[in-house]
Amino acid sequence: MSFNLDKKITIKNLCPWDLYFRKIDTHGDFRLPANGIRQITAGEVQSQVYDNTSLFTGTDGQGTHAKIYIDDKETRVHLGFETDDKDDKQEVVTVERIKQILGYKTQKAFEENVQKEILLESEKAQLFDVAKKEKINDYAKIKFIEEYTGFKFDTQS
Amino acid sequence: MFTVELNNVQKDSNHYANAKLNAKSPIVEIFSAAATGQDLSKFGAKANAAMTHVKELASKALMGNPVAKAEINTIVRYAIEPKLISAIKLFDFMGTFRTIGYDQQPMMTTYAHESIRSQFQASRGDVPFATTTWSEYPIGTQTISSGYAVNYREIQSGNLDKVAEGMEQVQTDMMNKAMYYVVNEMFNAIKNATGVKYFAETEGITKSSVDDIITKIRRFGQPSIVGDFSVVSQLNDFAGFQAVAGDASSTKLPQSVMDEIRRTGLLNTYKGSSVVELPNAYNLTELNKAGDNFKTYLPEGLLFFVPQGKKSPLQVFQKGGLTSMNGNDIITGTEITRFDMEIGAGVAKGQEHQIGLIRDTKYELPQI
Repeated sequence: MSFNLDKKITIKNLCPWDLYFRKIDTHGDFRLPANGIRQITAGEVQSQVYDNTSLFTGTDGQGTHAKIYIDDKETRVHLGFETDDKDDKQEVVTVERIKQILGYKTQKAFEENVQKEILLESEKAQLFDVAKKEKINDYAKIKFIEEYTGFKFDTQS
Repeated sequence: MFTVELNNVQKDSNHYANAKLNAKSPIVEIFSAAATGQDLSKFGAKANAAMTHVKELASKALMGNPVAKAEINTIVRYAIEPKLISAIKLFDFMGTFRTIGYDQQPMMTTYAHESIRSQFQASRGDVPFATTTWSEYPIGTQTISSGYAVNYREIQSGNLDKVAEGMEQVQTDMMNKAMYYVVNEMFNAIKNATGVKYFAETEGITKSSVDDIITKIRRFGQPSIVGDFSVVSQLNDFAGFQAVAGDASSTKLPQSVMDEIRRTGLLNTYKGSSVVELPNAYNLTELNKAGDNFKTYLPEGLLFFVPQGKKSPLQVFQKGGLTSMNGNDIITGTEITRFDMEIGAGVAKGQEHQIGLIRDTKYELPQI
């Protein structure tokens, strides 16, 4: 079965700020608003990945810690980010995952997972934002987030 | 790599104080002209007298006379200072630049609006106005040093080649370090700011990202677009117009813009904002991640949008002038002259959002 490049797929911005890239297949820019989703052709995504746009390909070229998540299993498999196996997942930090991490009961599990998964500046900012929105209410976790990300919950000084 | 050990460094002002010597003294002008290879005939007979004096000083310095060394250094310092200051003035395009005395503390000024809505008044009624309150807080300064190895024997013979080279190097080195410091301060302030933040990441600078940020920053004042050549040069493509409205493939550049780009490699202004290139030299001692080119001193992929006006959030201070000193490099025993300059920079607290930043993900972001 051949891969349909004209198929419209959804991409998702995982950063708390806008991302832009220049389209390769057609003229013009593409804007992906903070935490937003947009529709794009699979062919354009493929061009970007082949061009090694780090927003898509992440830190290792295989989609690990990517800032843009391709919300289509077929495309991800086609581009080699995942295998056909149902349990194989591209390693990205989504808002849902952050919520999960924030929900860990023990401080140790929380700290370990944060240190293991939240690496990029964008992920730190996202962690901070989500923690704020989720009304995190745990002094130890708040202190740890402040120390780890460098952001301060109390900006009035 | 030369280092002047702190235990043998001699501040020149400890040995030499001549209130009459200043940047406009004939000997400084003649020395500067001779070092940079300018015509000396306009100084007349004074040129000979001055150079004889310099040679005499050098032969005394060679014998270890600290006063003579200090005098030579002072002359060199006066020759470098105006050039360095004119280079440092580049900060004026980026924010507010102020020179303060040695005895002063750099104070950042930040403004806040006391929010009483200014209203239309009822006929013959009274009306409240908003006021601005401001507060100051001190920031620390950073000493930036640079220097070169001197060969007094060469100066003794009247050969100023090495001095000229050294002066050049001191200026470039100081400028690099000052820029590095200011850009880092700015980047860290924006990075650590929470709340409203005009920040975007792009793969290659895109027109829409630049337009969006300009629109947001412009309300604080006309922004300057500041960055390394690799990002500011990408603005060149945006200057065109479309022969058929809405058809991107028909984009053309007007003659005037083409001339501008051809001459300078850069657009002077984009949408009313001046485009400022930060000088960014290669760091020849380090390679980039891919290993196919040198690293640059400043991060390449950062494009800043700094509003201009009296209340620029970026404030840069130069504390006092240059200080010169000399000493022996412990390892090689060479005589080193060192120049120090104190610089302080900061982004006003609570106004970090006024500086916009676009990061081009094509370039590595050095961990600063």
